[in-house]
Amino acid sequence: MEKKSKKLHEYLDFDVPPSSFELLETESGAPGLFGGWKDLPPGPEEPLRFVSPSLQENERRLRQECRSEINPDVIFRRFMIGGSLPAMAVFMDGLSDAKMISDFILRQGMNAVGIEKAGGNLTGFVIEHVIAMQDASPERDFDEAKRAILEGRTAVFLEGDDRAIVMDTRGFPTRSVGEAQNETVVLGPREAFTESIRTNISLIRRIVRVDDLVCEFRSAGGRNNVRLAVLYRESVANRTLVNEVKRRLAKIDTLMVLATGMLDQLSEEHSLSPIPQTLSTERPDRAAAALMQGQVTVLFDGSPIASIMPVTLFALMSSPEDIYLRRPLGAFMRVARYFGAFVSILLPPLFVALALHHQGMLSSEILATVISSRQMVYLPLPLEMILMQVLFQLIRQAGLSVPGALGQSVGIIGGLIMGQAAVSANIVSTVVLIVVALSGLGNFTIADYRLQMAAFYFRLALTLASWAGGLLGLSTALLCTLAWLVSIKSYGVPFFAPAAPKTYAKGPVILRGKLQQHRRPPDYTNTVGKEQA
Amino acid sequence: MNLREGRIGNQEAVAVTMLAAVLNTVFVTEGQRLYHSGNQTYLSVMASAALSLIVFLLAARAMAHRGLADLNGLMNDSFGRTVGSILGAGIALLLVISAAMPLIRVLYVLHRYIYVDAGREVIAVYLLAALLILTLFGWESLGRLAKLCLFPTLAAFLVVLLSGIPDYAPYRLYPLLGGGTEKFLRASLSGVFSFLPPLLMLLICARGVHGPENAARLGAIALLFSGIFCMLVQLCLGLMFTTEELSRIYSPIYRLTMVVRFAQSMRLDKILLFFWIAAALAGMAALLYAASLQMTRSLRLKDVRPAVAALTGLGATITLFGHYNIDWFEKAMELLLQYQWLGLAAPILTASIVGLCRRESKLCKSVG
Repeated sequence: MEKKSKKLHEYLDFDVPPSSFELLETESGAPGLFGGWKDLPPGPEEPLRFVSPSLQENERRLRQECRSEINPDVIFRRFMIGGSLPAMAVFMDGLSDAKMISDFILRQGMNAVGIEKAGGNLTGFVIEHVIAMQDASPERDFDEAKRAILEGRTAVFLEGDDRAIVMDTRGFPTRSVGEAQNETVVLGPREAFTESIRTNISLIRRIVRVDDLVCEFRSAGGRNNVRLAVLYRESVANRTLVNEVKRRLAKIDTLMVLATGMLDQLSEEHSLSPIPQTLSTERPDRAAAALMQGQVTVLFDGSPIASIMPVTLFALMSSPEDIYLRRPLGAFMRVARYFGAFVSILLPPLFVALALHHQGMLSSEILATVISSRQMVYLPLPLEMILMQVLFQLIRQAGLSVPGALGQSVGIIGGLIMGQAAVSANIVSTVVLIVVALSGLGNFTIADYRLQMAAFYFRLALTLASWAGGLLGLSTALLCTLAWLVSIKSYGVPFFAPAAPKTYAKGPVILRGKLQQHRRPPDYTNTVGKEQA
Repeated sequence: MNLREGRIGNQEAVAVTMLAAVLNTVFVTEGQRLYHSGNQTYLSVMASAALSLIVFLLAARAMAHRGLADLNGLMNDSFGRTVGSILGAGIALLLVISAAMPLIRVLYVLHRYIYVDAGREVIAVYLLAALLILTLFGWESLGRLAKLCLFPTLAAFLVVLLSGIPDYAPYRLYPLLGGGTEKFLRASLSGVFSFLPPLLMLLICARGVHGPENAARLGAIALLFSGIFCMLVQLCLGLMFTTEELSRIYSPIYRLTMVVRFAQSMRLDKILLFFWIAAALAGMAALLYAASLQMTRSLRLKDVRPAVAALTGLGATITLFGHYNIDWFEKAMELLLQYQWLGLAAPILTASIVGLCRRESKLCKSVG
């Protein structure tokens, strides 16, 4: 009886924490009824920390903050400059070029002479007379110096000086410049961006050789402190646009930012929208063209994709090859692309509307074909259409996920065999299969990958609207979608500019204009200077 | 303040006004009444446009003269805050009725010709839900949407009108000016209700079109083109159907697509109808937005969305009520159109004259 009551008491004793570790309760207490983090009060702003004149103090702080006792990557190399000035070089093993450090910092420092002539300006003297690095600058801010070390640069601290010397000694392994995988062109350059931000900047500067091209470095806003570069032409780009881009980037405060895709979502105005509000490209020539036209390009260290803003629908639908082809061909390719997008988005819902609600609009031959092909199919037509579209996406994703040559095989197997098997098993009809295949082909003509994915959402929504209301449902849903698209803005620029709203430029919007008329940047960004539209 | 106004360019403003004016006129409810004794609609349409333009330009001139930013400002400046607010609310309600009238006809056409077995409320849900969503987007989005929709809509009309040329016969226009001058004048006056609300929309949203002077210029351009276009539509209808047939047909423009050989062979009638309906929704949404904005300003609210919801609901009620009681509604509309100048044109004319007689003011402000 006593044992039983004790057990009962244990069960009823809510104040005693469970013996096994659970993640339900955090150190701040149990989560609320509806979950969600408790907002901590904002802490006091951290004061600016300066480099100490004491070498020992700097080493102690750095060792403590970089956890050097368990983190052997951070190297602390003490040496004497000119035989009399104690100094310490701090760098990251694996990120910095050891040979560069040995040859141009350590050896130069140890063999230096005349250090006594430095007087009070030790840092300046060492930069000018001792170290043979092309990029060396003094740094007073301790946190900046630490950030430089974590990025792969080297910081040299001097005894008796409250400034460190920061030098670019990055030498981590990177992929060499290769061909663009996702934006292939027949004519035109084949180079693509790499994961190194410095390489990407140099690829752009090789094309844009103007004196007003500015490259401002920023931190990405995640706690992983990755660098990004904001590029623009200082005398052409709209100042408000540049400031807005920088403001949005500065507002980002997340756990980590790993690639451009994350950065775009964190800085876009309509983050829930399937439509992208920036243009992502892996081609330096495309980024260079955008910069020349007064747009802003953001490069991300560690990502081979550049983000261009602002962007319009017409920019997303254009391909880099358009401008390299002859004008009639370029115009035809554009028209074909828009037709493909139209077919991709509207053909399935239109078919559902006509076949389900308005059979009288179909000719008797088509109607007979539809009826005969659907005789044994048990699924309703709209469900069949939706199922095939989802299947199409599954095959596509499977082809992307499976590596190498197998990916192509998956596409062939999925497309041919499964399609044929589905028809033979009366799960789907041949007419629906053809409609979905045509729609899929049209989808691939859309130049931007994210816009291709967005087209799937629209197609699905319009198919459901057609199922519900036929042409009435389709037309009202299409109208609402169009209204929503025209209300979207990309960094203040309406998505349908320069068609709606109509801007000053008189050139064609869909067709490709004459290259001879390409003297000014597009005016929807309100560029400044002598290149103002 | 959340007025969802924004600013639109010249082309967008002209497009939204033309869309509302053309579709308001083409789908007007009292078409049958007009054709009872002779077809003179193609002439009275131009006269209605001219009368509407006079009222509109006077109001715009008065607003510019007094340095007022919108129509609500003109009403308050001329009549005082209380009376001006009441009249402004009245104008908003008339705009709602103006938006509901083509919807009643569209609902009838859809139920009679397309969705015969469907319930009318079900059809209305699609139209009215889309209307509410569009109106909530605001003036900027509606202007851009209208810009995108206008040319394809006009092209869709032209396809039908031009392909009926082989079948047109001038004898069907007789008797010319049937009913006499009195009927012509009455038809012209009642037609003002089709053209004036879209023009007033520009004055209500004058801030969004860069001021009343610019609004006046754009309204005149829009009215000129839409007047000519509506005249063309009515003329083609008169050349295709006799007055006897027109006095019996409901929605003659849709019947035109059913008899024109090209549209028949290509099975374009339904596609074109839904195209026009979509464009009509965009135009009506713009009218509803203008009505909501006017109501918001009259009541001195800070957000346009409650007014949008309320007036869309009111428009939905009028549409469904008018649709279910079509005979009663036709009679009510006849009375309304006969005396709508009292509620719509007269206050605006009076306010314009009062405004023009007062001292000129350079400040651009909204009184109230």
